[in-house]
Amino acid sequence: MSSKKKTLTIAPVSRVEGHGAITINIDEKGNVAKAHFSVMDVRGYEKFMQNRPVEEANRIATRMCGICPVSHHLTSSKAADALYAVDPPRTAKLLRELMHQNQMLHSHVLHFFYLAAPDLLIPDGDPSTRHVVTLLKQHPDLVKKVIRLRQIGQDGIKVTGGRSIHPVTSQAGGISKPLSEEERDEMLKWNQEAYNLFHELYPVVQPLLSQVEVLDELKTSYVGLVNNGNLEFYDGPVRIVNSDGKRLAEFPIKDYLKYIGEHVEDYSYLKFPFYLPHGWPKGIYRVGPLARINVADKISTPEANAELTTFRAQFGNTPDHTFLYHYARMIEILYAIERTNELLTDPAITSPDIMTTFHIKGGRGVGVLEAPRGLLIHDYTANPNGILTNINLIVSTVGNNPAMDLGVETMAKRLVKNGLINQKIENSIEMLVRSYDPCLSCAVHAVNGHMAMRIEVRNHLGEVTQVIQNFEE
Amino acid sequence: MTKPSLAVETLSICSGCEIAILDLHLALADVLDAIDLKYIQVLMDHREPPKEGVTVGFVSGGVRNEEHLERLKMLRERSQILVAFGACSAFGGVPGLANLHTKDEIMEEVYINTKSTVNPKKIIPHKIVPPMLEELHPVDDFVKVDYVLPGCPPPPKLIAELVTCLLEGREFHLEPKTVCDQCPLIKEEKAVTEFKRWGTDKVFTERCLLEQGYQCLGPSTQAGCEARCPTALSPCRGCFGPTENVEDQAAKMIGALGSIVIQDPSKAPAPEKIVKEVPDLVGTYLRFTFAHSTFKKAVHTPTVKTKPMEAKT
Repeated sequence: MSSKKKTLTIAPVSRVEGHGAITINIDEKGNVAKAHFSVMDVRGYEKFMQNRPVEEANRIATRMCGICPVSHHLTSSKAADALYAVDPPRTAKLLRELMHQNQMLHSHVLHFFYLAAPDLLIPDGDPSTRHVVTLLKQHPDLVKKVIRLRQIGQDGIKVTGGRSIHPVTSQAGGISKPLSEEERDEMLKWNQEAYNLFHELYPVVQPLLSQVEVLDELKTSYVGLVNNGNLEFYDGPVRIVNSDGKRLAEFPIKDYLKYIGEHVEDYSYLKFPFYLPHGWPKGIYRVGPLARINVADKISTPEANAELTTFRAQFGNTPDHTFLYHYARMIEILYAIERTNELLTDPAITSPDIMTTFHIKGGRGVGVLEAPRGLLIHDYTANPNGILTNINLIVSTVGNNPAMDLGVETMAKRLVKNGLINQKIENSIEMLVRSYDPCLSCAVHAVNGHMAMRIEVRNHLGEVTQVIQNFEE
Repeated sequence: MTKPSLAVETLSICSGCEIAILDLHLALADVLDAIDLKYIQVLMDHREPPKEGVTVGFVSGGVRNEEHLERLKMLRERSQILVAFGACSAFGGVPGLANLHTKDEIMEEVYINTKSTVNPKKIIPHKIVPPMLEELHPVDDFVKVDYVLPGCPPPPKLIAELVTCLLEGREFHLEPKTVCDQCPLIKEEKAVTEFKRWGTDKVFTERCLLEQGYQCLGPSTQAGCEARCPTALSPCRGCFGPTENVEDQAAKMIGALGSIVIQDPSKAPAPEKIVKEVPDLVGTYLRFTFAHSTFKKAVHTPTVKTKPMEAKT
């Protein structure tokens, strides 16, 4: 065993995808000194959205993410509503939320069933065939149900948003397209089908959701929207609780700068948000499915709330197990389906009253939403001609960046001994990052059971002494 | 007979193009039966396309950093046919608007100026992360492209058509039409005297949005989307790029506006009035194609400090 310091670089797709890398520094004794998670791309939306009209932002911001474009489309619309001081009609808000619930269905099904499930269903499988295409061959009936379930979500977005990917109908003041009664009836049929499909799939995966020992616990605060204490995806105050479930703050989104700051490190293009009153790094928090479940008192729909009760009976009220992100995601799918039914059966959903016109003006507006991956904030300032002069974005995946970074280090310190790393350790670290469903991995890992990884072991001179990789060149 | 093979590479992306492929839903299984999919990161583990035997390469995303450039060149070398897949790859897409600013301006805004950033040491990420290029580039800035499949993202139906053409050894062409040609909204050939900002006035649901005074890029945008945005009563923003043989989407649009605005020259509004009513010319007319337009980027003139001239005595 070498007694020299060295660095292990696990580059999941860094050279493949240009998006993510894990670096592990080993000390003289062969123990992990520190480890980091890096994100490899930056596009600069906060700069180039400047000089664009406020009301156009919601059709530009969608291009940040092709997995959850609805989130950016709607959060941007809400920021523009606030800036132009316009209140959309109730039906417009219902239709926007309907679009969003369909996105939650599509995105959560994509992540859990296409990406995480192969790891869980074939845990000891050959990494090169451990992906959804193999599952399609091995379990065609099961996977066809999954494909259909995600399709229902995407088709629902198309009906309400005009297009499944990068929808266009939401606008400052409301939404451009009403829902016809025929469309409503069709969507009700789809939603009943989604409900049935969920109940066929859930018993297959439910027993796999409690394997909390697979990943480390991480004690952090949690941040998410609530609505009268209920789980909420579309609108409400932001609640922050600590890892004991104690409430630290609850505030309207316009006040977020008093509570949330973003730290910068030199090794990642992604920033590191934190709870400002606690400072960096003590103020690390998490967002997304587990965070939303942890900040909520209850769920407003009966079946999802019953699942939450079962979940809490097993794991307590504010569990810190990272693995439970998957369980929380499944509860949220059920909520999205139940909530979609409520929205579709609201008599106002087919009303033609969907738009409040507004006057162009200057000012500031902050929009918020729970994207599939967590709290999303758009903060706009405009000049009197309604042209954006300042943009601040806190994007969902960024909220979990500190936790992924810290989680990688915790896991590396526990598993890497004598400077050695093996396939199993790689897998554990991949699964940790994947549990958060980070958007940077969406492109690469969305349907991938296994990341392509290359590990370079370097000595203190920076020379590569060993290369391990899990793919053929 | 061996099946044709496909390799898909992704550069600076939002993942929408990859989701569009998945949105073939069950038909994707048929595609996988007909084509030998050698490499697609969303489905498989291989780090790079095979060195030999790639019939068709799809590339999505623009080129924003040095790694993207390496991978683009690798795919070109190894593919018989290269398809620029989606607006970013073909024209730079929305992220091409970053070319209105220098790389340093972007970094300073994101990591120092933004409101929630707490960065007293003014750290700009530079370790481990790949160096950014000065601008975002469409792929044909660097390599020869055989086919362009435009759209942000390309509709699944067109993806299926392209794959079918390639399997049958046929050329793939989009119809020489504009979005207006496919749009169901009714045109009355009415002159427009005033342009309005979207959301500031009522919208009549069956009438052409442009004739109602809303900017809509239908006249300057390649057809193929089945006018999906105007059909949902939202104006076209041009994601399919210009029609064939048109270099610059903005030039085409401004030309088209001429005939819409000036039907009776005595009543035509002054050009200055129109310009004032369209406060963001680049973001309106070149939203998806700025990095592929006549200009490609903003010209940044360095600030030169001059000393006041001293009076000669």
